[in-house]
Amino acid sequence: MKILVPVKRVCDPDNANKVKVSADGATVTSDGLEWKPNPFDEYAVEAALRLNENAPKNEKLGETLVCSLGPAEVAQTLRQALAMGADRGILIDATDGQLDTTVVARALKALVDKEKPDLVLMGKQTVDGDSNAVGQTLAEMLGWPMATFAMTVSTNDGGKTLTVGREVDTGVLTLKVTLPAVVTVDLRIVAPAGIKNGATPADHKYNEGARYASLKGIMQAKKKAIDQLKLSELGIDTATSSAYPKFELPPARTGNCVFVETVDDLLGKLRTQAKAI
Amino acid sequence: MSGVESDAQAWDTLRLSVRSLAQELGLDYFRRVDQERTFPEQLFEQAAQAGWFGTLIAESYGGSAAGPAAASVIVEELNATGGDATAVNAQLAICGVLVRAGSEAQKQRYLPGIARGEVRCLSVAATEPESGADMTHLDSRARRDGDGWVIDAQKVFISMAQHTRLLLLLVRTEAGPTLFLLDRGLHGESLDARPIDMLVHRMTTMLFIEGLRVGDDALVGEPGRGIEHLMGGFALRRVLAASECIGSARFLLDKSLAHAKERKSFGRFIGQNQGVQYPLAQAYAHLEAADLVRWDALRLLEAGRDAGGRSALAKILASDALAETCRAAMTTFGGWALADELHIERKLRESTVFGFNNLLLSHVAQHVLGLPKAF
Repeated sequence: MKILVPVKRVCDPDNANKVKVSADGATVTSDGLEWKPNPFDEYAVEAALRLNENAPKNEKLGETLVCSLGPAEVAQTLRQALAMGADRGILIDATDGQLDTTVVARALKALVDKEKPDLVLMGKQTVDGDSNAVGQTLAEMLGWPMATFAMTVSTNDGGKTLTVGREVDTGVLTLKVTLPAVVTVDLRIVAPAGIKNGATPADHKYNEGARYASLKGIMQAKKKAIDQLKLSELGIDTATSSAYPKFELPPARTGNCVFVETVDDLLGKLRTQAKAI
Repeated sequence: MSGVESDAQAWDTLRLSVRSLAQELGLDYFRRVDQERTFPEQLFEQAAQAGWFGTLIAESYGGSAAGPAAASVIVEELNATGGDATAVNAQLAICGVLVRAGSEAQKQRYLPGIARGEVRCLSVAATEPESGADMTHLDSRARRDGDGWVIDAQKVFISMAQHTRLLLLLVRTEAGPTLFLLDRGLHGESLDARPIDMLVHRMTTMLFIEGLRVGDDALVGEPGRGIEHLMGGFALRRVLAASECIGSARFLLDKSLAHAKERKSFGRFIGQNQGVQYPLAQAYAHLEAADLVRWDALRLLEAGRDAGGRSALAKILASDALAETCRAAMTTFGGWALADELHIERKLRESTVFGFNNLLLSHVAQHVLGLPKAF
């Protein structure tokens, strides 16, 4: 099946504590931090590759497209996904300030209308904004079925439907969705048995986690195309629907330990002192 | 735009891939391998999976033919992440001799396994107890005996001879210095490798071979041209050594800069002190210069041109820059530089193996500057 995987670059999540707020509080600065693919998006790329590989004669079951919105350097993030094995990239030129959940969802809808994938497979959320909203918004805009927080995906009916296992608080909820659909993935999708595509042999051993870009993959990725589009060319409303008036870092922890006698006392302190509830 | 620049994005992807692999193994993994003096099995296995060992091997033999720049980025980034690229460097580069001078049968038999990391090709045995790096005077010999050869050899400073399956051995025959390919799977019992305890974990050995019979199929290239066959790979090996130096220096510099910005002494950040700043700035300047020459050498190698002189300069400059960065790191960290838990101490020791440059200086003097032959 033809799968579209949106990928976003984020500040190195392992060094998130080094993110600073600009002096005027208007922006978050990430100077000196590396860009990395959003981990959940990387899992979505891995899941898409597993869905499309190991057809007879080592062919693919469909095309895996990766796309991203951002400045020209985002091509590097797409190139990484191409090196993992994705077939083609699409880069929509935009500045970070132009993007919010709604604009990204609108841009992806325009891309879906153009590329007509069978499945949009994406991370459940990015680890920078943590909005957890693009997948849901996109599915609504497209009027497509949606399955979020997928931990397993298997294909049925010759690739016409998917069975999706979702991890919820009370256990695993199993959904059957008809394609085309939007599926967002959670961490466990990259467990060795997360994906069943009907073609990969049952005894095939997948590693835990997303695959590394092999050297061969990196060399092949040099020849793969990254189509360039401009946000303004998509014919969408580019007005953002959210704004960030001010950023501030959480107060530094004092390390003071306060003992309380009763639960009411605790709740009172959480409310009035810590302002946590 | 030359090939190297247009490939920059691919090298960035490769860098990230190497870095995540090394970070997943973790600094303590490399510390343990160093302390326990073991072969880095896990690194080797993962490097094989990532396809690094096929860098110089053509696709028709199962490699990726990614080329010298890819090899250089791999070993640099491993060291820049605090790892040790010794075994990876050997496996991806030493097979270059077979690629260039090996017979078709040797290539078909071994290259695919080397690319997959299943066949270890880690050792070149050239240096001898009496002659050191002077490969023109070899006491080790192979004499013609019927349709085969009988080898008697004594070699010293042979890295990883206990861990390799394939070993390239330089001995004298009637025709002159000649290269043989020994397969420990076939000749293992005749190869006696004894470890030499050293300051640094290079898995170094002395090698004794007595009365080993091999056939003509063990010959690499032509008898008498052994040194030439080995030297064909020297430019790349120098650039890889330079890349390892640059990687280690970057690791030390990154660590030192972070420490200088965070560590307070006498009520101020030590990075404010010129006694700390200047050595770091100086080391950085020399490191960047070495890196430019290294990429210049890679440009020549990628274009298939002679990189003899440039690669020698790259190795000399990069190892000097590393030594300077080591001193700057010691100034920055003080006594902590010598504690193994910060991984600086290990890098200080590792850096010592790159400091022997006299033959390279002689190469530059004679072949680049046109001075008379020294020896």
